[in-house]
Formats: sequence, C-alpha cells, structure tokens
Amino acid sequence: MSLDHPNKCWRITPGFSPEWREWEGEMVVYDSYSGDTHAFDAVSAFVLQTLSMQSQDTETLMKQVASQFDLPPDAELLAYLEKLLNQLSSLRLVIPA
Amino acid sequence: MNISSLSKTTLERRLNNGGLLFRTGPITIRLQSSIAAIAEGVRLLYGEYALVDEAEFIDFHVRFEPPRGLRRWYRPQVEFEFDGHRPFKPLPYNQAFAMFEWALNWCVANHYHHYLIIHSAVIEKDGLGLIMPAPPGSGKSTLCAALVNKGWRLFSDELALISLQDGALVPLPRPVGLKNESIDIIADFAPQAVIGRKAIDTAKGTVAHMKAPTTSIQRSAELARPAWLIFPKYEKNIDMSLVPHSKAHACVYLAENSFNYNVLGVDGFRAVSKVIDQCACYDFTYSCLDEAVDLFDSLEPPG
Repeated sequence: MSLDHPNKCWRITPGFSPEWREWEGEMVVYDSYSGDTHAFDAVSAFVLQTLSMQSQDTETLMKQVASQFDLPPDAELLAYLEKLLNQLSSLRLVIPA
Repeated sequence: MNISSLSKTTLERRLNNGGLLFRTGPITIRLQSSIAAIAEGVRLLYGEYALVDEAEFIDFHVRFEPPRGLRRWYRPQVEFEFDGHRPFKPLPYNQAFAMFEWALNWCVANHYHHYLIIHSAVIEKDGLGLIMPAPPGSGKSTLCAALVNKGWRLFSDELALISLQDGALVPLPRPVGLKNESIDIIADFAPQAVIGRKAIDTAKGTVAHMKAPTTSIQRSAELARPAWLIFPKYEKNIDMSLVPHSKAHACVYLAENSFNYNVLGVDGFRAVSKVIDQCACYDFTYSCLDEAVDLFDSLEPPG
C-alpha cells in the first residue's frame, strides 16, 4: 500500500552540492554541503540527478524512470519510488517541495 | 647517518635530553624518553632509520615519561606528551614501547593532513601498490607481515597515505603491530623477522612489533601507484577465495575509514576516487599464509 500521494512533489535539499563518480554502473555521490558520501544504484542516481534539475511529483518521476530504464510504469514501480524518495529524504538529500 | 650508528650510551643520552631526531617516510620526529624499554625498542626496531639534523623542521615532538605522583612507586605507568599536551590517560609501564607506536599513529592520523589517510595496510611490488583496509581482527597485519617477509615492500600496516594531487601511495614503513597468536605465527612463518619485546595485558591483548624490512626503510622515498584494493578476512579452515568487490562500495568504505576525509572535504573524495579509478577491488578470504602469498604474487595488474 502506498504511503504517499502520487502527486506529492519532491525537490533536492537546498544547498545539496553533489559531485558524482560512476564505476561499473554504480554511482557514488559526494555532497559537499554535508560532507557525506553515498553509493547508489542507477535508478537512485537518476532520481537524484533528475530532481537536481527540477522539482517533480512522484508520478511524473515514475514515468521518467520507466522510460529511462525501460520498465513498466505501474503501481509496483510507483511504490518502489515512494520508498526510495523516503530513503533519500532520511539521508537529507531530498525534501517535499 | 642512521640511528644504529649511535652507541647505546649516546642514544640513551639523546632520548633523555634534547631528544632523538629521526625520519620515517616523509615524517620527522623528536622523541624524548628516559624509559629503558623505549630505548631498547628504538635500538632494535628503528636502527636503520635516518637521523635528522637539528636545523630540519620536525613534524612531531613526542615525549614518554612516568607520570609524577606516589603511584609511580607502586604502580609505574607511562604517559604520552605531544607538543606539551597529554591527550591520553597513562598506560602501564610495560606498555611503553607499544604506546610509542600507537601514539605515533595517532599523531600522523590526526595531524598530517597533507595526505588523505586511511586505516589500512599498504604494500608494494614492481611499483604497484596494494591497499588492504579491514577492521581489527581480520588478519590484516598478520597478512601484511607475512607478505613483506616474502618480497613485498612495506608501506604501512596501519596508515595508507594518499597524495591529494595524483592518488599516489606514500610509504611510511614503521614496525608492524602484531597481536596475540599472530606474534608466534609470524615468528614461525618468517624466522628472519626481528620482533620486539611482548607487552602483555594491553587493551588489544598481547602485542609485539616486527621490524620493517631493511629495503622497505631504504626505499621509503619511492611512491607507488595504487593497483589493488583488497579486503582481507582470516577464517580458520576456509577455502581461499578472491572475489570482486563493488567499486562504489569500496569508495564509501575508504571514505568511512579515513581519519581526515571530513577535514579534506571534496579533495578527500577526489583522492579516494583516483584510488578507486586505478584499483581492482576484491574481497579475500584465507586461512593459510603460504597460499595467500602465492595468490598475491600471481595478481595481475588491472588493465
């Protein structure tokens, strides 16, 4: 069951200043604002990079992820993204817009 | 001139008075102490290190003495003094030389920010560096001690010094700390190894230090390019294995196990990234030192 509304809008935390590296399809980001370093899979990295450019609601983000990774834009993917966004929020990388 | 060129009396006089000035890798030290165990340890394990002239800049001024007070008569202790400060509680007197080694690690890890410093052993062969980060109890120092007695060059068993400019590894070849059963294991594995006096009942159990091989000390100005990042783990009676380790997770591990990553900011991240760019990363599990040495000798440089 989904916890968030699919129209909930997300944005990058103000001050988030990422420096990215990619190795073997996995991404690492250094946030010079917090000094933290995180490893992400390709989907998480795509979400962060997309939100870095523009705030998005979860449903729009889901469609972009589906298109980028050739996945079905269904409820399962939406639920996955809601969970992911909440994880990114707990790392203080994204906040509700 | 090396420390071994000093007579026992001259060495003790220097330690007792103005201090013994010497170099290890890029670091210069002024060591003062009236404690016989420290003089003995320095004579045994630091004889081949270069003496430093009074005119040279000294990175760390350290002193080890028994604290004053009545306790010194019934429970003698040793206290570490660094630039006039006493950052730690005293330790039992029989741990004086071990305290010197630990304190020197602390000095470097907390103050030498010209480099990114990671908690890791580092060895080298043919100009290629092998980094072995691992938590205590993983067999890192034992494996490192075995390998440097079989042709690998010792950079450090505890502190990886990484250049912020190009990610090169910088040697800091000091005695290798061995704990508990590892002391006898290395004494049996490498009978030529010089191992100092055991200190018992320390916070880490029984500890002793093995002298760095002569060539490692003599070649301490020669840097190395990182080529392998290997996470070792000793397990009794297990089949040896070497399996790829995610580079992204290796990057985060190095960041989390660095002493000064947060001090260096984005420069620290870039230095770690340069290391990861150049290294093949593996998890390594072993139970037999001979097999481990054979496997390390057969490692191919990353393409």
